[in-house]
Amino acid sequence: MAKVTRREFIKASAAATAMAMASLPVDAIAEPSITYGRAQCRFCGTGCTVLAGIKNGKMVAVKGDADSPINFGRLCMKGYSLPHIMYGKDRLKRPMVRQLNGRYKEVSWDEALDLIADRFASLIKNHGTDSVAWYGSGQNTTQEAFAANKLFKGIIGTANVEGNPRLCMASAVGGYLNTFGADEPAGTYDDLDMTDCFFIIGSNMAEQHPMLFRRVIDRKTAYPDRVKVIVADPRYTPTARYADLHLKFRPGYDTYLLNSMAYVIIEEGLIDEEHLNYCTFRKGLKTKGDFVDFNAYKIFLADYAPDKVASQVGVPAEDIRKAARWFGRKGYATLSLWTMGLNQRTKGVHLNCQVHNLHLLTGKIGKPGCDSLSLTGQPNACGGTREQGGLTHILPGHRAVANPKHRAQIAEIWGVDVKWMPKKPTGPAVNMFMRLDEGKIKAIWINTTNPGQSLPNAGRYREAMKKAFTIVSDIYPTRTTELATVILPSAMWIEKEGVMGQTDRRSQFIPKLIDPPGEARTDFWQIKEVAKRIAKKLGRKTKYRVIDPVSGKVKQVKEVYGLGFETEEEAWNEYRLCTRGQDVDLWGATYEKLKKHAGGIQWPCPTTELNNRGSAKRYISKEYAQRIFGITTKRYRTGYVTIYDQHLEEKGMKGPINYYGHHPFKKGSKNKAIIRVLKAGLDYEMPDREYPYVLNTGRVIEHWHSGTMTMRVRLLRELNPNAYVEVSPEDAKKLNISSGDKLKLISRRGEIVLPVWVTDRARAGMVFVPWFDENKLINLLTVDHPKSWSGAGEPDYKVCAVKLMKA
Amino acid sequence: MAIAGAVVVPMDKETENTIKKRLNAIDGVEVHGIGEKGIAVVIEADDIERLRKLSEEIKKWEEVIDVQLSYLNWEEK
Repeated sequence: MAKVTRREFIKASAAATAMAMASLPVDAIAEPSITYGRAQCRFCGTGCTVLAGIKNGKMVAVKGDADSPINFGRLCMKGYSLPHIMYGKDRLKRPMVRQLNGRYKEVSWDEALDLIADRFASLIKNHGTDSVAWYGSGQNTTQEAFAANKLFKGIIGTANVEGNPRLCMASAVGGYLNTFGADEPAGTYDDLDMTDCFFIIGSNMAEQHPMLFRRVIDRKTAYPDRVKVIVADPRYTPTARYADLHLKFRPGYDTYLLNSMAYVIIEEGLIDEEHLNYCTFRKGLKTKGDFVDFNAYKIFLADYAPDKVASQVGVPAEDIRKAARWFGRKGYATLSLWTMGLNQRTKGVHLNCQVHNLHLLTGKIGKPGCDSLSLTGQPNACGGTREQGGLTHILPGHRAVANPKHRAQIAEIWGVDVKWMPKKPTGPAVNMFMRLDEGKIKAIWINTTNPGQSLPNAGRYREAMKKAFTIVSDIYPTRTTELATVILPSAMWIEKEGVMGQTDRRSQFIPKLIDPPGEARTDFWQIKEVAKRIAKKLGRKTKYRVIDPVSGKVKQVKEVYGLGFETEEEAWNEYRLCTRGQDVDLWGATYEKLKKHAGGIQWPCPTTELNNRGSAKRYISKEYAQRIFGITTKRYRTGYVTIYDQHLEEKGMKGPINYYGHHPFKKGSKNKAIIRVLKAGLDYEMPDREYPYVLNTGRVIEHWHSGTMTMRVRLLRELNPNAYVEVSPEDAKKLNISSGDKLKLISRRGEIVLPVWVTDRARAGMVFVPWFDENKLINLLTVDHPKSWSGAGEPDYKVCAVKLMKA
Repeated sequence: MAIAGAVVVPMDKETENTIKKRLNAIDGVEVHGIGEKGIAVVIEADDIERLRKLSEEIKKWEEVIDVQLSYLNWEEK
């Protein structure tokens, strides 16, 4: 047999994947020394399925998994960079403790873990359980997040459990809860391939969710006249460039825009009267406002007629009408997609509800190509935080800390004394760091996230982290590890095993394929080891159980100091028990099934039947699916999803459509979705005479979040090496600046000097700065005032007031 | 060394052969067939930056809608 060189092999692999994607027959290629393992991409919340090629214990290749119903074998530039993110020269490999002289000294794991446990136990004894805190991440695996939640809420007994998803998705949660009474979308990625109108608002999908945007392009290309793409964004992004209609609204005025679209939908008879039987109307958010009827809502919207608000919104009235008409076209499908542009806003929850309103009014939900689909930013914000309960107010399986029944249920599964558990939430992420700054929280464990770079008004909290006893678990040195008392080196991605959950209620398995470098250990192990030590010091024993993954039979084995599970699979099975029978039912997501199906399992999935991959759509019955879709299941090579909601079927709930959210707002709205009657309003810190410009922050295609991983890939670093400020040509003229000049940005909290990029991407009156650059911390300027937070405690990174000076 | 697998998506069926000829004329590009979804190619360049530029150039052709990567491998320096 002729010897194949590495170059020839790579070329053959490249040809094979291209041929497969072009729908050409492909001969199998195999090189015995490379083995491929299936995982989910490490980066964004899309959850593309990748095949990681391993040779001699190192990741050497990556390709998209053609079996995946998410990315169909495709990957984006960041996905293709996966082999390179793991091998940066400065990977953290040994635990380190900061010394009195400020330098870090390498220590053994036992020394580091004992130090943490001693300090935590001492603080809890002397200052109470709320003197310690956990700040996790939408990049933790669900098992890690579950372990941390159990340690802090179950064993220590504090609700000081928060995570960075509070900074990115909390408003989306608030929107779903206020509208449907239950978190997370009703639809699925497959809606991208069936819709006739994309309404993309506050999202630069082309750069931040490129593989999903690829499906937008595919759909539009296939049906160029039928399919309309509307993009609402103050910036002229690559996504907006692709749009049939770009609504370049004034920053802050989208609450007016959305109410105006609702007005047109009603005025022009685009409502779905049958679907309105499944809806009710209520003033305001949560439970304070009155229920009203359709006519009251119609009268309320009269103030938002396009002719009345167009000048405020900054969009021609006719464009608002056109957008509403395309959105509401009878007999056509509409899919809304959004991310941080709506969520990271003072009115974030309002905006989310207002998008849902449009879908509920027009009945464009629960049908092919129809949904109100919030896109996720991180690979496990949905799974590890929203579903698992990784925030101060929630418990696993969509339960509430403040609900005694829910606490009792979780205490039973966790094998802890319910009296140990906190009875009420403490505060959202920024509030937690405020308490750290005030000295009320004295120790914090920051895991897989970089708040030293990402928190709004970061300067204040950087000082707080440096003063406190701060533990940081990460893979590389960051702007947060430099503030740590103890640095713990973590394993990353395929160096450990876990489950992650994405946008469309999808959970996927990541296997351990290679060993971590040096003495780096998994976060799951770190939490487990600290838990053993702290539990012993607190004298709190947990029940260690083994759960049969199919029958669910629980066998009590013994009482232990620690979390009560040893392996990631044991933790997953205990977590599955927490979801069993809940709307977020993952009981059917056994390890066996997660490993079998490319693209994972979509909850609700109550059954462990091997081929059942869960529910593609929520809130609709089997009969309704048959009537509307003409099918009740969709088959894949390895199994099937039901088009209908398996939770609805399992619980025997009635109705073709049943918005069954079991939430505090259900009185008066049982089994119905709530159209929220919401006055338009602006962000907290709008521009004024002193600070006349809006600062908008965000992301770029080459980098992900704070750049911890992508800035260690030479290609990505060279493509986009540093932060800059986008300035519109109009503002550049006013300021007498050109591309390459330096501009000083000053907010009420801080200032920064950045190179200028004059571009039509920016809107006059607004500048944009990406936040990936650890040498240029734009979050020193952003606003952290509690009044700037959305109703879900999420800070506003999209609108804060700045003044600009040529530097 | 940088090697990519990609599908060049033509504007329409009629332009496929024109694109194929243009692709074959480029040093470092191999055409592996024309399928339902486009033209399967392998692109090879000395480094990732050159590969990226080549791919961007092809994307700019009038008869091409897109160049979709299916595989990418390069060495970090």
